[in-house]
Amino acid sequence: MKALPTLLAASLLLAVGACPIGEFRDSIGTSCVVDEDVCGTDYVCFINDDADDNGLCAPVADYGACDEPTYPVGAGDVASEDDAVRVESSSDVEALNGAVRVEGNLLIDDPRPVGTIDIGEDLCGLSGLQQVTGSLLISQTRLKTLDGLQGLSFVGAGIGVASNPELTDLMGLANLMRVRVPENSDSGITVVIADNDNLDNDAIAEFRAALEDRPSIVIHACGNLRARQENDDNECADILDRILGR
Amino acid sequence: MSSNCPSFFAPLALATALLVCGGPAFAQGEVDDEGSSHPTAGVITQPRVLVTDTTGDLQETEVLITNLVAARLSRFVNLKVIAQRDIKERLGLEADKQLAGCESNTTCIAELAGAFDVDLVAVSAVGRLGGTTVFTLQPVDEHGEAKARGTATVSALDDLAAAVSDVTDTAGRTVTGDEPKDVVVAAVDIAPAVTVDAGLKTPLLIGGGVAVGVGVVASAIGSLPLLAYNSADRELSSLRTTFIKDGDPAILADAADTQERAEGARRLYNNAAIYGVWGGAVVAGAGAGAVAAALLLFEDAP
Repeated sequence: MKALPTLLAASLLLAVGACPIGEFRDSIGTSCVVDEDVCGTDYVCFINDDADDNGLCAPVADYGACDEPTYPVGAGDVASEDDAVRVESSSDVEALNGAVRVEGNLLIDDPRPVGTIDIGEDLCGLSGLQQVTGSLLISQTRLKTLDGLQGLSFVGAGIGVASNPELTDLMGLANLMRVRVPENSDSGITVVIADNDNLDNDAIAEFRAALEDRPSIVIHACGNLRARQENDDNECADILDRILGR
Repeated sequence: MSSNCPSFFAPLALATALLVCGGPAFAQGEVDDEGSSHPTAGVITQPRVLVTDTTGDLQETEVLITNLVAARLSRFVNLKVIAQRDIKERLGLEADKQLAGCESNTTCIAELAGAFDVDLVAVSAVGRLGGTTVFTLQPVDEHGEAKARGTATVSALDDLAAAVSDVTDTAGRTVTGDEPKDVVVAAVDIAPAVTVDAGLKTPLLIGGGVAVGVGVVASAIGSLPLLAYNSADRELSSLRTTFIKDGDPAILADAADTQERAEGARRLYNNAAIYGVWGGAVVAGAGAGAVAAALLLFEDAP
């Protein structure tokens, strides 16, 4: 007799609990295509074979000085106007907060020929960003690190990090999986690190080491703190112009 | 054939009536279609007793005494008591005339019993002798034979009711050989309900138990994909932690396998197994209800 209420309660619980299973489990190991699919929040599309765009979603281990993005990231895709999304102020960064994919170029840059924009010391507002289908330019800022870009795994047309006088660390880009060569470039270089006055060779070497097993990412550094002696300034400028399609 | 079943059983099917009321009713003796009894071996199993109006010279008190005698005799379950006033209501003035003046004549009373198809006529009288009030009661059968005689004398009218009750109870005991029903409450239980339930209890228990078993098994089987999914989900969380710590790409391959298992379990559960869980729960619930009904409603049945 005493078992009856228990049995009834168990049956009731069983019935109430018998709801369909949702799809909110951990994303690790989920299939993805690096330039198409967006993985879950705080994941990147990890590719093992450089010849293949298919990969598996892998968790981002560290966002540096930034907090990891929380679900849902929110804004989703951001389509660029006139082929470029421009970030020139902190409010522009805020406007991109939660974006996971930028269609076109993302230009974090001072439109003036000389000077720097103040958008803070890092890019934490962009921590949900996973893909930029065009070029990524980070130039003439007062950024000290690129923290906040740890979720970025694909850039469709080259990356330029140039003329950021206070930049000392590049590891915010360490989770890049695939960077494609810009259309009008024949050098094969996909990432140019140039003219960053405080960026030393150690930081550049650390960045290279992090990306060494990703053949699609060809890094060219020039005109930085200790590299000035090693590279011809004119050559560096030329490469930078070419990679950015200028 | 009739029985002592309450009238609300009458509309029920005959089988139900037999189940509910069978045993105890027939234990009390054979009763024919008209409801009169057939005495066996000198014992009248359920005599019909006509309680005539108490005669005497105490004016309105006599009516009260008549009612008291009828009420006291009604307490004997084996007596079917008919009051004189009932006869009057049914048969009218003519019956009243027949009843009048018959109280002291046993032959007349015997005829009266035959005429009204009763087994006994309870004749009572009350009167005063000096300062004493005397009450007499005798049940007379259809042969004119008094089955008992009772007399009580009281000096105060206040004591008369108790004396009438005592005499009537004694007469009732003598005629029926039984106690009035409010004294033998234990003998008048609701055994018929238990008798009924005995037939249903076993099928309910067996059917309910089987249903509970089948339902629980179906729910358990249906829950397997859910358990597999939860296991895979926990494994994925663990792999995530390991990957963040070690950064080994091989962990991603393991995670991909686990994802495949999780997705397979999710689809199997959502598209099929969930119905087993629900159906099993419903069947188990119904079975549990049947078992509960068998155990609670038929608690005293064997």
